[in-house]
Formats: sequence, C-alpha cells, structure tokens
Amino acid sequence: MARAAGIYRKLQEQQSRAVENHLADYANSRILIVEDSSVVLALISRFLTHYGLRQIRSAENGQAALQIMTEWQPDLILTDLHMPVMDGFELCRRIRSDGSLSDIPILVLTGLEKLEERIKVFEAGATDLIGKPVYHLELAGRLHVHLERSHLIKRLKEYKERVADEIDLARSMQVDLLPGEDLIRSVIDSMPVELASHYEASIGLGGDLWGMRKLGPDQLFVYLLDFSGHGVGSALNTFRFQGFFNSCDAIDVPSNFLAELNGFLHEILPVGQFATMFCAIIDFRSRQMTFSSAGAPPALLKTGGGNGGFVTLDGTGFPLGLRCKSDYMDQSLDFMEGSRLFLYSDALIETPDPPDSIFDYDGLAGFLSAQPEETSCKAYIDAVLARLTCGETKAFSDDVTIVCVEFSRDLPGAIDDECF
Amino acid sequence: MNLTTTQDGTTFHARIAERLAFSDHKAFRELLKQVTASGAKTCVFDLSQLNSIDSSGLGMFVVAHEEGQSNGWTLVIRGAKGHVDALMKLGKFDKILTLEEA
Repeated sequence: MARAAGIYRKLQEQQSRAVENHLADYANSRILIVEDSSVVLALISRFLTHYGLRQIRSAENGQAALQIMTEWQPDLILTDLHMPVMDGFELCRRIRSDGSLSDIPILVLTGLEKLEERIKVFEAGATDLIGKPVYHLELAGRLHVHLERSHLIKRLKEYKERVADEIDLARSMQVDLLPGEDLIRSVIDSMPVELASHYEASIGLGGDLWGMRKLGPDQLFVYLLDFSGHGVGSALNTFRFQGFFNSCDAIDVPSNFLAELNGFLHEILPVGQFATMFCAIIDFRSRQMTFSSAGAPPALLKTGGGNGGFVTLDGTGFPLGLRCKSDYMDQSLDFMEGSRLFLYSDALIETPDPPDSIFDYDGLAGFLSAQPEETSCKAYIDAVLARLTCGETKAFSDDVTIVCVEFSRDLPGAIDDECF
Repeated sequence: MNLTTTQDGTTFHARIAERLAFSDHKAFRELLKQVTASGAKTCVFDLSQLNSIDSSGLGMFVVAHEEGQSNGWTLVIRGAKGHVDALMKLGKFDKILTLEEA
C-alpha cells in the first residue's frame, strides 16, 4: 500500500513538472481571476504563481472584471459563476458581445453537475469548464491548452495581416505596371484614339497585364498578356515581362516581338508555366493593323466604315515559354476610322467554368455586335462586365482584363487624308 | 479533378474528368509519380469527360510530357472535346503533345 502511494506521488510530481514546463512559455500571459470568495481566490492565485505565471489580477464580480478588462487586456479569464452585482453568465455574454474582447478564452469555475446547466455555461460564451473543487493539475493543464490555442490564433492573425499588407503593397506595384494616366493622356492627345480598359486580379495579384507603346507619331503597339495560373507566382512573372519589355528598345513587327519574348520566357519559366499574348501595331496613317497571337483568346475586331459586326481574329499560336524556339505569324487587316479592337483575358470565356460559361468566342462577338453603333469603348466594357456579373458584385476566380481601342472619327488628332 | 486510374499491361490509363485547374497541381504531381512507379511504357490521359481546363491545367500536360520523357514513358492525350479541345488547338498543343481522337 505504501509502495502504491509512493508511485502515485512520484507520478504526480512528474505530471506537475511537465505542466510547469509547458506553462513556462506563457509566464507573461495576463490572467484575470473573477471570484468573490477570498479563500478560493487566494488558492487559485497560489496555484498560478506556483506554475510561474507572473501577471495575475483579480475582480470580485463581473462588473469589476469588465472595468479591469478595458484598461488591462487579459489573455485569459478564470471566472466563478455565482457572484453578486454581475454573475459569470452575464460576464461571458458581455465579453462575447464586445468585438474587441470576443476572442479571449473564458474558463468557468463551476460546481454544476447537471448537463443542462453546464450547456448553459457554454451557451453564454464560456470556452471551457473547470470543476470545483479546483484540482491544481487540471487547472494548469487547461490553462496551458487555452493559452497555447489563444497564442496560436494570435500568431495566425498577425501572419494573415502581414501577408495581406504585403499583397496590398505588391498589388499597388503591379497596378503601376499598367499604363498610367500620363501614357494614356499622351496617346489620346497625340493619336486618333479612344480607349478604355478594365483590370481586376482574382486575389489582388494576377498574371494578366496589358500595355501599349507609341512606336512613332502614327503607330501604336498594344498588347494583352496572360501568364498561366494566377496569384503570386503569375504576378511575379508579369514583373519579369515588364523588365523584358522595358529593355526592348525597338519593336518592328509583332511576330518578331513574340519570338524574342518566347526565347526570354523559355529561359526563365519552369516547365509547365507559359504565357499567352496578343499584340498588334496599329498604323493610323496606313489604316492597317498588324497583329500576332501566342495562343491568346481570339481578339475581336469591328472594322469601321461598314455595317458588319465584330469578328473573331485568329488567336492560334504557341504559348510563350513552352518551347525554346517558336515561330509566330503576322496578319494585317484594315483598321480605319471607326474600327474597334476588343482584347480580353480568358476569364470572359471561362466564367463560370465551361461548359456553363456566359460567353464563348462567337457569343462574345455577337454580344458586342448587338450593342448600338455609337457605343463607346468604356460602354462596351461596362456592358460585358454587367453581363458577366449579372449585375451583382462578385469576385472572379481568374484575373479579368479587357481593353478596347477605337480609331476615333472625331478626336482632334484624327489623321486627315490630305496628310498622305 | 475527378481522377480514375487503371493499368492494362504496360499502359497506364488515367481518366481525368470534370475540371482540371490550378488547385489540382499537387494531385496531378502525385499522379505523375504513380505513373512512373507503375513501370508503364505508355500513359493515356482520357479527357472525354473533362469539361473544362484552365491555363495551369494545360501546363500540367506539358509537365507530364517532360516527366514521361525523363522517366521512359510516352504520354498520349485522348478524347479532348469542347472547351478543352478548343484551348489545345488555340495553343497548338498538338505540335508538342500526342493528341488522339476519342
């Protein structure tokens, strides 16, 4: 019998040391004890101090506890249920209804035996129950569980906030890659162009990019690029592309640009990653558009001067970066006053997922053709977005980019035939 | 991705149904390991039940092709239709991969 008692005591000492070690990590956690019995309060305080917890305060009822909490944010609350002024049930309810306090673990000290009563404690917002009389190892064990949980949740929230901040920063950097006000103003002021665009990344960051560059007084290079996948990985690739584009001094024909870009991307992209791209040079003097495509969704063109609608252009071509050497084809078409070019990313054709998509290529061309003749570039984009979202505000599962360029009939910069 | 796999002699059959997208990346990599571990000489991706694919999904086929070349098996993609077939043709994937009708 004495031997059994010895083994039991040794076991308890081992358990006690284990709990002590666990709680050592949370020595600075702030514990608020809400208890009207000075005897129980002294006992629990002694237990906590024994386990190395250094920041302990007490309140004699719920009302006093709430006052302390406003200026001393505790990490955990240990509360009795039956107290004058404000009992433990009401204290739980008040804490849970306060947004700034609602995450604090509340451990209720209770002698309640009946299941219904214990359920009521949880309904009021308690995190856990500790039976009275309090057994110190149980108290320490539960404290450890809830402090650890609370600590992990806090760390997770901090991590989430940090990632969100960094994505915000990256988003603003990526938006800077898009044509800025200055470039757009410069193009509109010097060329007979009306244009509008819409860019929306699926998670803040995306693999889409569009841009343009004036190649001369009468030539505008315009492109829409889409890296496979979306999110951070694809977004980083858009920065890589921008580096290439900025170092590309002379752009002659679209197919050569694509071939060079293909070589660059093949060097840097891992197997399986690629980009699709449509690019074109619009020559306002010769009233021609020369374009080339690397597997981009077929661009749509409405040629000015006729009564025809939008037609789909040939988008076939090897996606960029898949093969070390790919050849691309140039095609030229009339692009005269009133002509409109409509570029878009695959989200338009894949929202929602095929085969239930709202648009297919021909359906999109038909939808644009059905718009009134005088529809502006911006109005085309608004109409397509409204159709895609059915009037609701919702996030797309992929990046959405749309660009519409029109050879304007009316703008002051319009080229007069006499200039030839 | 809804995946069903069988093996018939030296041919590994993988029926990839519903949608193949970015989120399937990990499962797809596991599939490729499975094909290599099976010792198969040919792997047939049956896409006849695949309704849609995103650009990452297309990239996975290229990864599979390279994986096969490195590990001694040949990839055959069979039965692409609708949207999947249209994207394959748009990107001229038939010049890189072996595509077969259903």
